[in-house]
Amino acid sequence: MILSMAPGPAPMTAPAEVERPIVEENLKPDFPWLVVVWNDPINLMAYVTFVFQKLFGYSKPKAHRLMLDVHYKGRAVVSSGARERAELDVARLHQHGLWATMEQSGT
Amino acid sequence: MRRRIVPRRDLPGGCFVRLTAPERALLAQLPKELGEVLAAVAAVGEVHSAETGESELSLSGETPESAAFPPAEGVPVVPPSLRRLFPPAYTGDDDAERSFVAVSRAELLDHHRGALQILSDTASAKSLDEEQLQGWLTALNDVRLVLGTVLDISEETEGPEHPISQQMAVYYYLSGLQAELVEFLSNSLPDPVPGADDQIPDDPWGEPLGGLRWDGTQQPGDGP
Repeated sequence: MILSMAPGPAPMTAPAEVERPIVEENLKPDFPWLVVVWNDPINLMAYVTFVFQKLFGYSKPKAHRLMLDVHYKGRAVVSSGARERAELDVARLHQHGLWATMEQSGT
Repeated sequence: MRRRIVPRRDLPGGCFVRLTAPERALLAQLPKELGEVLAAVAAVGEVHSAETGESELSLSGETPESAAFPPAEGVPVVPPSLRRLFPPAYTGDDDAERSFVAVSRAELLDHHRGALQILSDTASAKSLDEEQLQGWLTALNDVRLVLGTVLDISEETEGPEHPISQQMAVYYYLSGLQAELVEFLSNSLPDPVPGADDQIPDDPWGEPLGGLRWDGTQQPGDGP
């Protein structure tokens, strides 16, 4: 079954012009996006822990560990998933005043 | 210290607010001041050229050079003192950042404004419900983020010095009050979502203590 769905043999001649950006984009659609929160000296540590609990449903110990990662390592991945989901999480973190960015894993 | 946020037994998630008249006067003033600076950010994310009034707390004041990422090409610039309220989502992809800002900026601005409105409406209230408390939390944090930016608060900033500036005094006052709000609201969080903790590894990059800062430079102090 799987074999029968495989694409046919490659053409003998390679296409002269390859639209590389699109090809590369298509090759990594399954790598999840990582939502990263960065350390900043203004947000209170207890507040950051609270936001992680509230937005992601983490237990307090988990949220606390992530906060400590942010504080001592400078950044932590706090959620991951499809691009749309990651954008939503980043937007919610921004609404709570946290410095959040997103990047695709495996790049 | 005497508690300022006291649970209300008759209102789940609600609280009594015990603040003095000068404290309430300050809390009523903050939304006005920050609202004036936010007026420079239009709903569509464009910056009006209109001058913002100079507020007493200088929330629109000069800010030290930002170490943060420069804004993406074509993304509307916000006043420097507000940069922590409108951070970038994508740092290496200007096209993606432009799209993100286009769809999220208006909602983010509404969120900041809504919280300020709640604080403005309830600065003299004797008690607050949970939604109002959330509004206070967001509004106080927003003001602290702007004040902290203007004051150039950093990891090395040590407690208030004497004589203390009005800005610095307000900053530390708000920090204390916000800490009480966080403690109170933490107690009324719903139970953790089953399995949520396992979605994210504790340390996916295995980085040592003292890692990277937001702008890619090393963290000071305990770096390698």
